[in-house]
Amino acid sequence: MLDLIVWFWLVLLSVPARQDVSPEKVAALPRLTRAEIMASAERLAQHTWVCRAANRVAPCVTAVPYESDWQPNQTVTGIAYDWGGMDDPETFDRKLQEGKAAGSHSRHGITACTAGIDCSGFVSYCWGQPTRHDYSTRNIREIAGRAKYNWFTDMKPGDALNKPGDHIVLFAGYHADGRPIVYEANGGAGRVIRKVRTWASLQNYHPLQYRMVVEE
Amino acid sequence: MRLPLTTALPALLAMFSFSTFCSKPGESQPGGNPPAVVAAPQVYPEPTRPPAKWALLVGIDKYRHSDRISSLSGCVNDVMDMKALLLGKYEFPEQNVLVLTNEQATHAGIVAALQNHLIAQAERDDIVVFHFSGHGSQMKDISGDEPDGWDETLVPHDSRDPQGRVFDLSDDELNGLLQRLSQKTKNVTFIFDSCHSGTATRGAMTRNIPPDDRQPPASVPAHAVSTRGAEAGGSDLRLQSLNYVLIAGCLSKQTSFEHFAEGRERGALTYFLVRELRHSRPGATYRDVMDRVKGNVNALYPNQLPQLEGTELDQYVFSDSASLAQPYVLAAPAGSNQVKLAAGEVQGVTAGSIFEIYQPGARKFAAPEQPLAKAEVTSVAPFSAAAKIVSGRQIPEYARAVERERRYPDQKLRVYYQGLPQSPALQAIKAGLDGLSFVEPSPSPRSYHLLLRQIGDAIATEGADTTEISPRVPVRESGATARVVHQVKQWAKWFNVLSLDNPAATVRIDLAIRAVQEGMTRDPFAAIDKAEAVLAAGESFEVTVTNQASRDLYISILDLSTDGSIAVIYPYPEGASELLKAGASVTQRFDTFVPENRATITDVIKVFATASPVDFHVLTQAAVRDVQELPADPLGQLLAQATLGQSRGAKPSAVDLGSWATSQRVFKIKR
Repeated sequence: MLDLIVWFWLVLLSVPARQDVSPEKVAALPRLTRAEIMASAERLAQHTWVCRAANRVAPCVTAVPYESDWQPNQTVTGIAYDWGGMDDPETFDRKLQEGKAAGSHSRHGITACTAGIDCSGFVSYCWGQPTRHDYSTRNIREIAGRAKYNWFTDMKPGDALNKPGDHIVLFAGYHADGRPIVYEANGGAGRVIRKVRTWASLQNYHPLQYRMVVEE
Repeated sequence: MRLPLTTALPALLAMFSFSTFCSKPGESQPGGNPPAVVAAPQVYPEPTRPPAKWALLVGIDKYRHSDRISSLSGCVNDVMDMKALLLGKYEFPEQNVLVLTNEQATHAGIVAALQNHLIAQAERDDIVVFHFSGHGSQMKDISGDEPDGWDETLVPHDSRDPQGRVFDLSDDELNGLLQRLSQKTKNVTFIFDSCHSGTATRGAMTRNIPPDDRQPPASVPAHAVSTRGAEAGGSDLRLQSLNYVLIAGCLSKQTSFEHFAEGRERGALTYFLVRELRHSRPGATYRDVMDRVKGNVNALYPNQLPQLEGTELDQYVFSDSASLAQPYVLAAPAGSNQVKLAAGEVQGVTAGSIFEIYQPGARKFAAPEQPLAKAEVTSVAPFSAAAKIVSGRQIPEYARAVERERRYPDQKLRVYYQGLPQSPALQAIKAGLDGLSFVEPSPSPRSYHLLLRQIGDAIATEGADTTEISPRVPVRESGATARVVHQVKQWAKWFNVLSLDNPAATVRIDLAIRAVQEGMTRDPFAAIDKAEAVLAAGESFEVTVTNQASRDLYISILDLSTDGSIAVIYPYPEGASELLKAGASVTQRFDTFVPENRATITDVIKVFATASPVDFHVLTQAAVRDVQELPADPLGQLLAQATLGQSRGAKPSAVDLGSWATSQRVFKIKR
């Protein structure tokens, strides 16, 4: 029986997630300029908040101990990383006021007592999906196309680099030495940050372009 | 590439200077000439065997220098799918289909395959396919033909090596090879599923991030230089003069995408192209297939619009016999009794014109095909038009529309008055012209057809290129105002006649002009990329008109001299009618000269072909005529209004486009 269950999950994981997309769905997506996408990213990365004592505990997390990433009264720039979260700055601030915990990680599961945003929620938000966390790294191609870019040279601000089932970052430009500059909801940093990545750290990612980006 | 004259009118007006040539009736030789062609016809070597089918399919997912070129996922799948399609449905022999993937698809490997597998083996009437799926990019231009200094490229597996020895396949290099291929057979299809592929074979566009700024070798490889390219002094694509079909993933500035479907990645273009080809009926043309491919790709990837270009778009797919498809525009339902046409101002669509709409896949637009509906254009945007169905029923997606009646737009001659406040004479002239519906004052010195200004004691009339185009009129001369007004009226009429056109003509004529000197003839239009032909003063030239329609046509040839005069130079004498049998030709010879005070002149030959006799002498410009009664038929009214220089907006009814056609050539005469 156990073998059957393992086999079932192996089969399930080996099948790529559905990429359901229809012309009607594409046409309904909001049209965004690259500048608008980057402004959204900057807004989440520059959002400043203060972690109160109440924001360091998550009573609904019981399976594993919850340890906050933040110190009491610490001022933080960048919305907290929250596994399964998709809070814009206003919602995030309201939840903190309500005493919810600032951020969580995958080990904590998706919770109702934490606030923040995760990597796919962050990119979805920048791509005009402000309220619902409909897209993960597995199905975000429903709103973005896999571009035939040479990513070392061809990407443009507002594109993304995605590794299905793992992580996604928003591309912001090329550093002078050719490395990619990205915005991301980064679990290690515990928040949305702007960062110069190495290409080695993005092995097995692929470039995505939001389907309704408006080239200016 | 030569500009279509219908779109070159402003430039034409701008460049006009005084000119004329002396025309005289010559020998008429109806039916005695070979079919006329405008460009030099491609001559293909005689085949040594029955026609064969050849394909070279290149797919690259993995690149040798992976720290410089990122990998792709669907390119090998693309060429495998295409190979299966060619071997199966299209019956290409397996030994004639060469596939290069990843490590096989080096720069040298691709060039060698093009030379040895395709160019060396292809013969006339063979069917040849070259498909590339992989990265497209740019590199520094070394031939100096790219305005932005960058060549469009295809990226081979081993390109961008750190030692700087291997580069992309540039469009310079590619052009030479593909042109040699096109010179072997007229049935060549190029498919480029890559970014920037929209210009991979035809020159530069801009791009934001130059990927390979290493200095390439100082010279273009020998195989890149074609005879024709060398003659033309450049290497941006001359394939326009040959027969080919180009299917490209996207426009130069756009992105091509990979599409996940049926459990695998493929290029979006190739996926939908293969899918449509699998399901296409026998006899489908490239346009049949690509209409759907473009729609499907663009609906899912709004920033990718696949391109279909070339000279054989109405040819059967991967076949060697051209169909007889007629020009059409796509039509789609847009609400109750509303239709959206995929053509607009740029294509010359006008409000009030009538289109007949046929089923998707229709090609003849004549019996036994029956129109589904008739629609009248209600509004026109730059690239689309809205129409309402006036008879028939609702139409499906991908329906095809053909223009049947044309409502000609109002055209006005724009006049700029320079120094108006200081010149009472100009003010009087303006008052005289303000009452004419076909003339409007231009507020800008940057946008006008004619400029009037006072120089000393005379009124000068200048064209848009600032050369004087009418004799100066002394302001103190009796009737000076009326004389200038008369000159402007003449120019308005001249402009109207020149711009008369029937872009949707269903009767077709070919117009060829050959220079004749010392018993030799040459085609002055043979030079590629010339906006106009050049004749030497004293050289005679022959105008040959061939009736390519299935019915007899009446032919008239007009000379629009750039002093503003219009003359009917054929048939002769005045009032004669010349019926040209279907398939027959007529040739007229004329002499040229350049006035003593000029070094260069420019002139226009315009041919009208009509289903019924029309006396075009009404158009002559000896004086502005008074036409007391407009002819009863719409075409006659259109011509008469052109005679008067009147606004076409007042025309009472649209003109049947099935009864007449025009063709015209402009050329320069040098001492």
